[in-house]
Amino acid sequence: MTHKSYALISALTFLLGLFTYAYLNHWIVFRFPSRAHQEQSQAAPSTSKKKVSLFFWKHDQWRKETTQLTWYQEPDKNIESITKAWLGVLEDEGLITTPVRLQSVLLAPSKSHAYISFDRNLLPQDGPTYEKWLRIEALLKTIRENDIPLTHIQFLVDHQPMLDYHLEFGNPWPVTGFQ
Amino acid sequence: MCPYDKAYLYSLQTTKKWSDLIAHTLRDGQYAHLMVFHGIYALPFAPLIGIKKPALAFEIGLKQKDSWKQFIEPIVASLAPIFEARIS
Repeated sequence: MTHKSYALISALTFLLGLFTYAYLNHWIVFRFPSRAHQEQSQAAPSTSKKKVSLFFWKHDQWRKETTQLTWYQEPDKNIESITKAWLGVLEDEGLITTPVRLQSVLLAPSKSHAYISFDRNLLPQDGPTYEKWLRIEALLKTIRENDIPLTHIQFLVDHQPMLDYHLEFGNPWPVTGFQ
Repeated sequence: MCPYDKAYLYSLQTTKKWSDLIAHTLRDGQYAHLMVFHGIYALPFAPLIGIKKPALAFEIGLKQKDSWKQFIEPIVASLAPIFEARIS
Protein backbone atom coordinates (compact mmCIF):
# COMPACT_ATOMS: atom_id res chain seq x y z
CA MET A 1 0.00 0.00 0.00
CA THR A 2 1.37 3.34 -0.99
CA HIS A 3 1.49 6.55 0.97
CA LYS A 4 -1.10 7.91 -1.40
CA SER A 5 -3.55 5.17 -0.46
CA TYR A 6 -2.95 5.76 3.29
CA ALA A 7 -3.59 9.46 2.79
CA LEU A 8 -6.79 8.77 0.87
CA ILE A 9 -8.12 6.29 3.47
CA SER A 10 -7.23 8.71 6.27
CA ALA A 11 -9.02 11.56 4.52
CA LEU A 12 -12.11 9.44 3.89
CA THR A 13 -12.18 8.15 7.46
CA PHE A 14 -11.80 11.71 8.76
CA LEU A 15 -14.66 12.90 6.60
CA LEU A 16 -16.81 9.95 7.65
CA GLY A 17 -16.08 10.68 11.31
CA LEU A 18 -16.86 14.37 10.80
CA PHE A 19 -20.09 13.51 9.05
CA THR A 20 -21.13 11.04 11.78
CA TYR A 21 -20.35 13.60 14.49
CA ALA A 22 -22.39 16.23 12.65
CA TYR A 23 -25.31 13.80 12.24
CA LEU A 24 -25.30 12.73 15.89
CA ASN A 25 -25.28 16.37 17.01
CA HIS A 26 -28.18 17.15 14.66
CA TRP A 27 -26.10 19.52 12.60
CA ILE A 28 -27.26 17.44 9.70
CA VAL A 29 -30.91 16.34 9.70
CA PHE A 30 -32.34 13.85 7.27
CA ARG A 31 -35.97 14.29 6.23
CA PHE A 32 -37.04 11.31 4.24
CA PRO A 33 -39.70 12.03 1.61
CA SER A 34 -42.22 9.54 2.99
CA ARG A 35 -42.01 10.96 6.55
CA ALA A 36 -42.22 14.57 5.34
CA HIS A 37 -45.31 13.73 3.31
CA GLN A 38 -46.93 12.06 6.32
CA GLU A 39 -46.32 15.13 8.51
CA GLN A 40 -47.69 17.43 5.82
CA SER A 41 -50.86 15.42 5.50
CA GLN A 42 -51.31 15.51 9.29
CA ALA A 43 -50.90 19.30 9.38
CA ALA A 44 -53.27 19.96 6.48
CA PRO A 45 -56.79 21.08 7.49
CA SER A 46 -59.11 18.12 7.24
CA THR A 47 -62.41 18.70 5.49
CA SER A 48 -65.36 16.47 5.02
CA LYS A 49 -68.74 16.50 3.42
CA LYS A 50 -71.74 17.15 5.62
CA LYS A 51 -75.43 17.03 4.92
CA VAL A 52 -76.97 20.22 6.33
CA SER A 53 -80.56 21.34 6.81
CA LEU A 54 -81.51 24.88 5.80
CA PHE A 55 -84.70 26.24 7.36
CA PHE A 56 -87.04 28.97 6.20
CA TRP A 57 -90.58 30.09 6.94
CA LYS A 58 -93.01 30.01 4.05
CA HIS A 59 -96.79 29.77 3.79
CA ASP A 60 -97.19 29.79 7.58
CA GLN A 61 -94.95 26.81 8.24
CA TRP A 62 -91.33 25.81 8.64
CA ARG A 63 -89.78 24.32 5.56
CA LYS A 64 -86.47 22.58 5.25
CA GLU A 65 -84.06 22.06 2.39
CA THR A 66 -81.20 19.62 2.67
CA THR A 67 -77.90 20.11 0.92
CA GLN A 68 -74.34 18.85 1.18
CA LEU A 69 -71.57 21.26 2.13
CA THR A 70 -67.83 21.03 2.67
CA TRP A 71 -67.36 20.91 6.44
CA TYR A 72 -64.22 22.41 7.97
CA GLN A 73 -62.58 22.13 11.34
CA GLU A 74 -62.89 25.90 11.80
CA PRO A 75 -66.45 26.85 12.90
CA ASP A 76 -66.29 30.29 11.24
CA LYS A 77 -65.80 28.67 7.82
CA ASN A 78 -68.79 26.42 8.48
CA ILE A 79 -70.94 29.39 9.55
CA GLU A 80 -69.88 31.18 6.37
CA SER A 81 -70.73 28.33 4.04
CA ILE A 82 -74.01 27.48 5.77
CA THR A 83 -75.12 31.15 5.78
CA LYS A 84 -74.28 31.50 2.08
CA ALA A 85 -76.24 28.34 1.32
CA TRP A 86 -79.17 29.60 3.42
CA LEU A 87 -79.19 32.96 1.57
CA GLY A 88 -79.20 31.02 -1.69
CA VAL A 89 -82.26 29.06 -0.61
CA LEU A 90 -84.08 32.28 0.37
CA GLU A 91 -83.34 33.65 -3.11
CA ASP A 92 -84.47 30.45 -4.83
CA GLU A 93 -87.71 30.48 -2.84
CA GLY A 94 -88.34 34.12 -3.77
CA LEU A 95 -88.24 35.26 -0.15
CA ILE A 96 -85.59 37.87 -0.93
CA THR A 97 -85.89 39.69 -4.22
CA THR A 98 -82.66 41.70 -4.03
CA PRO A 99 -79.68 39.41 -3.47
CA VAL A 100 -78.05 39.70 -0.05
CA ARG A 101 -74.35 38.86 0.14
CA LEU A 102 -72.47 37.68 3.17
CA GLN A 103 -69.50 39.98 3.81
CA SER A 104 -67.74 38.26 6.67
CA VAL A 105 -68.04 35.95 9.62
CA LEU A 106 -65.85 36.60 12.63
CA LEU A 107 -65.68 34.73 15.89
CA ALA A 108 -65.07 36.34 19.27
CA PRO A 109 -62.08 34.92 21.22
CA SER A 110 -64.53 32.81 23.23
CA LYS A 111 -65.58 31.13 19.92
CA SER A 112 -69.17 31.15 21.16
CA HIS A 113 -70.12 34.58 19.73
CA ALA A 114 -70.16 35.21 16.00
CA TYR A 115 -70.32 38.50 14.11
CA ILE A 116 -72.07 38.03 10.79
CA SER A 117 -72.00 40.95 8.38
CA PHE A 118 -74.19 41.25 5.27
CA ASP A 119 -73.97 43.78 2.47
CA ARG A 120 -77.62 44.80 2.99
CA ASN A 121 -80.51 44.26 5.37
CA LEU A 122 -81.92 40.77 4.86
CA LEU A 123 -85.25 41.50 6.60
CA PRO A 124 -88.45 42.12 4.61
CA GLN A 125 -88.51 45.91 4.96
CA ASP A 126 -92.26 46.29 4.38
CA GLY A 127 -93.12 43.13 6.28
CA PRO A 128 -94.57 42.77 9.76
CA THR A 129 -92.41 42.20 12.84
CA TYR A 130 -93.56 38.57 12.91
CA GLU A 131 -92.15 37.93 9.44
CA LYS A 132 -88.89 39.73 10.24
CA TRP A 133 -88.46 37.73 13.43
CA LEU A 134 -89.09 34.47 11.58
CA ARG A 135 -86.45 35.41 8.99
CA ILE A 136 -83.85 35.74 11.76
CA GLU A 137 -85.22 32.71 13.61
CA ALA A 138 -84.80 30.67 10.41
CA LEU A 139 -81.06 31.40 10.36
CA LEU A 140 -80.74 30.74 14.11
CA LYS A 141 -82.62 27.47 13.69
CA THR A 142 -80.33 26.52 10.79
CA ILE A 143 -77.26 27.25 12.92
CA ARG A 144 -78.44 25.31 15.96
CA GLU A 145 -79.95 22.34 14.12
CA ASN A 146 -76.62 21.77 12.37
CA ASP A 147 -74.75 21.62 15.67
CA ILE A 148 -72.62 24.71 15.21
CA PRO A 149 -71.26 25.50 18.68
CA LEU A 150 -72.43 29.10 19.03
CA THR A 151 -74.38 30.80 21.78
CA HIS A 152 -74.90 34.29 20.32
CA ILE A 153 -74.85 36.02 16.95
CA GLN A 154 -74.42 39.72 16.31
CA PHE A 155 -76.12 40.67 13.06
CA LEU A 156 -74.37 43.41 11.10
CA VAL A 157 -74.82 45.28 7.84
CA ASP A 158 -71.61 46.72 6.43
CA HIS A 159 -69.96 45.85 9.75
CA GLN A 160 -72.41 48.04 11.72
CA PRO A 161 -75.35 46.77 13.80
CA MET A 162 -78.32 45.92 11.59
CA LEU A 163 -80.98 48.65 11.80
CA ASP A 164 -84.71 47.99 11.77
CA TYR A 165 -87.80 49.92 12.90
CA HIS A 166 -89.19 46.90 14.71
CA LEU A 167 -86.40 44.65 15.84
CA GLU A 168 -83.37 45.70 17.83
CA PHE A 169 -79.97 44.33 16.80
CA GLY A 170 -77.76 46.43 19.07
CA ASN A 171 -77.04 43.31 21.12
CA PRO A 172 -76.21 39.79 19.97
CA TRP A 173 -79.16 37.44 19.54
CA PRO A 174 -79.09 34.12 21.40
CA VAL A 175 -78.84 31.15 19.04
CA THR A 176 -81.55 29.48 21.12
CA GLY A 177 -83.84 32.20 19.78
CA PHE A 178 -86.63 34.16 21.44
CA GLN A 179 -89.93 32.57 22.36
CA MET B 1 -79.81 52.23 37.35
CA CYS B 2 -79.58 49.65 34.60
CA PRO B 3 -78.59 49.59 30.93
CA TYR B 4 -81.16 51.08 28.56
CA ASP B 5 -81.72 47.77 26.82
CA LYS B 6 -82.31 45.96 30.12
CA ALA B 7 -85.09 48.30 31.37
CA TYR B 8 -87.74 45.66 30.63
CA LEU B 9 -86.35 43.55 33.49
CA TYR B 10 -87.86 45.98 36.05
CA SER B 11 -91.40 44.79 35.28
CA LEU B 12 -90.74 41.44 33.64
CA GLN B 13 -92.99 39.41 35.94
CA THR B 14 -95.89 41.87 35.62
CA THR B 15 -95.46 41.98 31.85
CA LYS B 16 -95.60 38.18 31.71
CA LYS B 17 -98.71 38.09 33.92
CA TRP B 18 -100.49 40.71 31.84
CA SER B 19 -99.53 39.05 28.56
CA ASP B 20 -100.99 35.76 29.83
CA LEU B 21 -104.26 37.50 30.68
CA ILE B 22 -104.41 39.13 27.24
CA ALA B 23 -103.56 35.86 25.48
CA HIS B 24 -106.25 34.01 27.41
CA THR B 25 -108.96 36.44 26.31
CA LEU B 26 -107.85 36.62 22.67
CA ARG B 27 -107.33 32.88 22.32
CA ASP B 28 -110.30 31.57 24.23
CA GLY B 29 -112.65 34.51 24.76
CA GLN B 30 -115.80 35.46 22.93
CA TYR B 31 -113.82 37.13 20.09
CA ALA B 32 -111.54 34.17 19.43
CA HIS B 33 -113.53 33.02 16.39
CA LEU B 34 -113.11 36.41 14.71
CA MET B 35 -109.33 36.22 14.36
CA VAL B 36 -106.29 33.94 14.29
CA PHE B 37 -104.26 34.60 17.40
CA HIS B 38 -100.57 33.86 16.77
CA GLY B 39 -99.41 34.10 20.37
CA ILE B 40 -97.33 36.20 22.71
CA TYR B 41 -93.65 36.67 21.88
CA ALA B 42 -90.80 38.10 23.92
CA LEU B 43 -88.62 39.84 21.35
CA PRO B 44 -86.18 42.76 21.38
CA PHE B 45 -88.92 45.01 20.01
CA ALA B 46 -87.33 48.36 19.21
CA PRO B 47 -90.29 50.69 19.99
CA LEU B 48 -90.55 49.29 23.56
CA ILE B 49 -86.87 49.29 24.47
CA GLY B 50 -86.02 51.52 27.43
CA ILE B 51 -89.49 51.33 29.04
CA LYS B 52 -89.34 50.26 32.69
CA LYS B 53 -93.12 49.83 33.12
CA PRO B 54 -94.87 46.71 31.78
CA ALA B 55 -95.00 47.21 28.01
CA LEU B 56 -96.70 45.15 25.33
CA ALA B 57 -97.36 45.73 21.65
CA PHE B 58 -100.08 44.34 19.40
CA GLU B 59 -99.29 43.50 15.79
CA ILE B 60 -102.38 43.06 13.67
CA GLY B 61 -102.59 42.06 10.04
CA LEU B 62 -105.21 44.20 8.29
CA LYS B 63 -106.93 43.14 5.10
CA GLN B 64 -108.29 46.63 4.44
CA LYS B 65 -107.02 50.00 5.53
CA ASP B 66 -109.93 50.70 7.88
CA SER B 67 -110.43 47.17 9.22
CA TRP B 68 -108.53 48.13 12.38
CA LYS B 69 -111.84 49.24 13.84
CA GLN B 70 -113.06 45.67 14.25
CA PHE B 71 -110.11 44.93 16.54
CA ILE B 72 -110.82 47.67 19.07
CA GLU B 73 -113.47 45.73 20.94
CA PRO B 74 -111.43 42.49 21.30
CA ILE B 75 -108.39 44.45 22.47
CA VAL B 76 -110.38 46.38 25.05
CA ALA B 77 -111.89 43.10 26.22
CA SER B 78 -108.41 41.56 26.50
CA LEU B 79 -107.21 44.48 28.65
CA ALA B 80 -110.21 44.34 30.98
CA PRO B 81 -108.88 41.45 33.15
CA ILE B 82 -105.71 43.48 33.82
CA PHE B 83 -107.71 46.42 35.16
CA GLU B 84 -109.95 44.11 37.14
CA ALA B 85 -106.90 42.43 38.69
CA ARG B 86 -105.43 45.85 39.58
CA ILE B 87 -108.65 47.06 41.20
CA SER B 88 -109.42 43.93 43.20
